[in-house]
Amino acid sequence: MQISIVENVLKLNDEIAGLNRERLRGAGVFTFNLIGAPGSGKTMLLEATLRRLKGRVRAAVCVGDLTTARDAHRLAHWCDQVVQVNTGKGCHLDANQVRQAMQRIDFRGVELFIIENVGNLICPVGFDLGQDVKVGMFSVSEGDDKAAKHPYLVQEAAVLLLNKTDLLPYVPFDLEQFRADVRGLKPRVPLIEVSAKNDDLAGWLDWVNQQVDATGRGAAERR
Amino acid sequence: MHELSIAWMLLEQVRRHTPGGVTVRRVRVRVGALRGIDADTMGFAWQAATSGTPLQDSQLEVETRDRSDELMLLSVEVEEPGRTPGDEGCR
Ligand SMILES: Nc1nc2c(ncn2[C@@H]2O[C@H](COP(=O)(O)OP(=O)(O)O)[C@@H](O)[C@H]2O)c(=O)[nH]1
Ligand SMILES: [Mg+2]
Ligand SMILES: [Zn+2]
Repeated sequence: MQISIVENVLKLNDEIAGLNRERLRGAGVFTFNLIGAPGSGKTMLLEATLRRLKGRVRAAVCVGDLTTARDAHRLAHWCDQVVQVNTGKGCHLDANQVRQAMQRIDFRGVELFIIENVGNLICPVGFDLGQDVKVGMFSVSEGDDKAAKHPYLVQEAAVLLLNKTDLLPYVPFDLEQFRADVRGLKPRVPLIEVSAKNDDLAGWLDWVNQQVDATGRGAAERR
Repeated sequence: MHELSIAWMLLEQVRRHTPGGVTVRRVRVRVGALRGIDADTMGFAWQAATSGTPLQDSQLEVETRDRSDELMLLSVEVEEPGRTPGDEGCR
């Protein structure tokens, strides 16, 4: 006997993500889900970002790794609400893990919620966590072909970062080719080139500030 | 290997949709190419996820679709208790 079902395998995940989103939007929080390869510099970018936003934008962070709380410790220097999620064997965060992390955060006064996903360019893209947008990160040391090889991330991301631009003089990396690959996949996506190490983050900080302001204004208008 | 975590979710989902006591023979899914899921690896992950469960002898059939990110459980083929395919007809 055949039982016909036709149901999204991620139905449960997506429902919980919807609840997370409702809660975050209701609180006037702007949320991004940072996705990139292990070692691309996600944590370092967030350290530099939080350092620059400290005292101006109130933030909370949920960081996913298979194991250890090292990233949470690094980020806790710059943000008083950091929750580490250990996924064990799981190569991505799911909405329920983020829901549980959110229960440990006091969102009163928080304007920005950052989720650092498990380092992986593929499957985190398919798991809605309740974020407003996904941010995709590549880095110079990974090679200039990575955008072309990961079209799903490029297509799903609202903004793309190319980190470690300080290495451009030392590493073979065809910046024009990389830019062209990105444009070929998603013509209008903002591609922001940064160096977390050198604190070279201007375009990125502008983007974050704009999003936080717009979300806060939207929430104030609804009230 | 994200096939394995997907196999676990799929296993839960199949259980929710199948009545107790039946034997699951086949599970059909449709996977969009953008998911980066390899059909062979998915079959292997299914074996690993179902091993030691009542679904351990079930087959996973993966249908792929280009330029899509869907991930759908399509159907489940089950056998009701007391009836095996060989029982049909006389012998
Ligand atoms: N040269 C250079 N190295 C960086 C930059 N950002 C991060 N790194 C280094 O890259 C490595 C991985 O960084 P990490 O933040 O842990 O990456 P994650 O795994 O993506 O969170 C560390 O050794 C960092 O010091 C950068 O902008 N330039
Ligand atoms: Mg990290
Ligand atoms: Zn995964």
